[in-house]
Amino acid sequence: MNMRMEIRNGKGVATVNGPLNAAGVDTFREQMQKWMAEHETIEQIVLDAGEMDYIDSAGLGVLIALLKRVTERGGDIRIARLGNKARMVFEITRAFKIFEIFDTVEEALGAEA
Amino acid sequence: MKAVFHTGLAVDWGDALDGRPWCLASVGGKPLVEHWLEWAVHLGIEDIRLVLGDGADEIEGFCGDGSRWGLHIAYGFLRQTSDPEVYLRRSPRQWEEGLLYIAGPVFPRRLRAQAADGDPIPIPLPSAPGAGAAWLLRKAEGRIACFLSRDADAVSALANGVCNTASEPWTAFDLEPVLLDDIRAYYEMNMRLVRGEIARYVRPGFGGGEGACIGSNVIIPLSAELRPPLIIGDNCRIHPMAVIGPDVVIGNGVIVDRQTELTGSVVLDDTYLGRNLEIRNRVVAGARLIDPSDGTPVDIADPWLLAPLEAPARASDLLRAVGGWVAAVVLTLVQALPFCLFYLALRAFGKGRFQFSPRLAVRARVRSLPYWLPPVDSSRLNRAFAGLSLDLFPLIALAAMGRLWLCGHAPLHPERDANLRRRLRRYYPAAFGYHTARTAGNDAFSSAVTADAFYYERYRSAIEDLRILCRTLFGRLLACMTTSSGGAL
Repeated sequence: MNMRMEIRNGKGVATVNGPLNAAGVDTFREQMQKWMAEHETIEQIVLDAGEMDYIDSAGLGVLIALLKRVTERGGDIRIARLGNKARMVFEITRAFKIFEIFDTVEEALGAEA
Repeated sequence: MKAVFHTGLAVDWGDALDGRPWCLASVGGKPLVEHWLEWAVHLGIEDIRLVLGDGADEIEGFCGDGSRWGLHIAYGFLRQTSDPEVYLRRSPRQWEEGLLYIAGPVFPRRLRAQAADGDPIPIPLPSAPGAGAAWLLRKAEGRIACFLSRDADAVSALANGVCNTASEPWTAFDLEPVLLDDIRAYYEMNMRLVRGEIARYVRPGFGGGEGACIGSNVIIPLSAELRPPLIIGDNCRIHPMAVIGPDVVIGNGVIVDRQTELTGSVVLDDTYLGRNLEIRNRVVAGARLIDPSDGTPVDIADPWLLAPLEAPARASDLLRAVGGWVAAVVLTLVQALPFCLFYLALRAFGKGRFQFSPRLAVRARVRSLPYWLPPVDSSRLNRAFAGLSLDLFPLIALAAMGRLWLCGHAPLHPERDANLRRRLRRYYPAAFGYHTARTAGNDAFSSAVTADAFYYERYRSAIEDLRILCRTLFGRLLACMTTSSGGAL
């Protein structure tokens, strides 16, 4: 799993490449924590899942933990470009009720909190 | 008259069923092939030929010799590339008295309601068929999916691929075969059956209230919620706070974990549904989730979400074996003296004895295992004996000698439990299991052994073993202490 972070419209955009599963959650968590520590003023984060092959329960767990941290500083996490496979996991695990899902990154960036 | 059923033909939606043979896919709680066999029974046909392809072992294992339905089943094989009618051409004289032929996912939908007494109305073949009379159902590409005729010429035409006659109306048999040609048709047929929209259909299982059919050996805790209409197969385990229904068809040997909600869905046999899931309007086959509206299959790679109930060999089994053996030795040493004292006292007062029963131990060896048989009016001494788990001492000693696992499955009977043993991928006969953890020597739970066996196969771990051990030892002690007041020696 690879990921890159950038800032667009004053919001953080995390692009995940590859599967976000048990093997990759530690890398994801560490990089997110490091990036959030460097950008304390950024509240909104968009997860671009267009290149994310798959997500499992461990991946969902780290996203929920991240959501908790971001919410504590008044922000929010949005998910964009979910693939079919990952979308199914979001559906059956009820993660749809926790995260806001958007078709494109632009929509996620433009949406009001 | 004979019947030929092709089960090995390629079916588009069959490929989505996670490697399971499509003819064993549940339709209204029963495998499709069982509907065919029941149809043959209703037509008075006793001689069946099942032509196998992929999944032959599973199909043969399910159908056996057909004696379950009062039929005689013979098996044949055909290469997938071969024309299915080749089988008929091999020995054409066999079908001269007539033939029921199914070559595809055909569901024999019944049209009339049951008789008032609940028995199916017999639907014999017409006694004097007209020349060339045949009842046909064709696939989209024109090939025959279902054929019924007592006319030798019509059967010969079918075998030679020139069956061009028009079909007689199936309604003569109060029946209309339906071709389940895609996953949507398969799903919708299940939904119609579970909702009771198709009459004259004997639902499997026992009644669980209006519109609920629940199979045998199903564990449903009080906190689980069932919302009919629904069908639950045999040997299933529903966990607390799960919500099942409405419009749910669950196959055999399915585990639905805690707080999972299931509505408008079909779950195929031997599937594990993980904790806290919400599955709506889907077909679930092992780790595969299929959207019936477009047939898109999605494999869920996380075994904690969805999984086929097959237990791969685990390296941690070695750790469990060593840890279990050490614990068995310690328990044997601790229990040896109390066991001798209590046992001598019980024997002296004539309060129970050990009864030996043949069971499958480790490495599938048949051994006579000792089971404590207390008298009907259990005395204080007897309750203390069971409360200290001393009745399990011989089994624990066998575990210390390597003849049993310390924790695992209830040791199975070599004959009575032969079917269950065949279905288990891994078998751990043990002194302690869910059967001992429930309540001291209470056979009322013996019917749960099958569900327990599949559950343990999937969930075994050192922690689960420790839980079983603690629940048995402390549970029995607690039960003994809370019921020890009063009673004779």
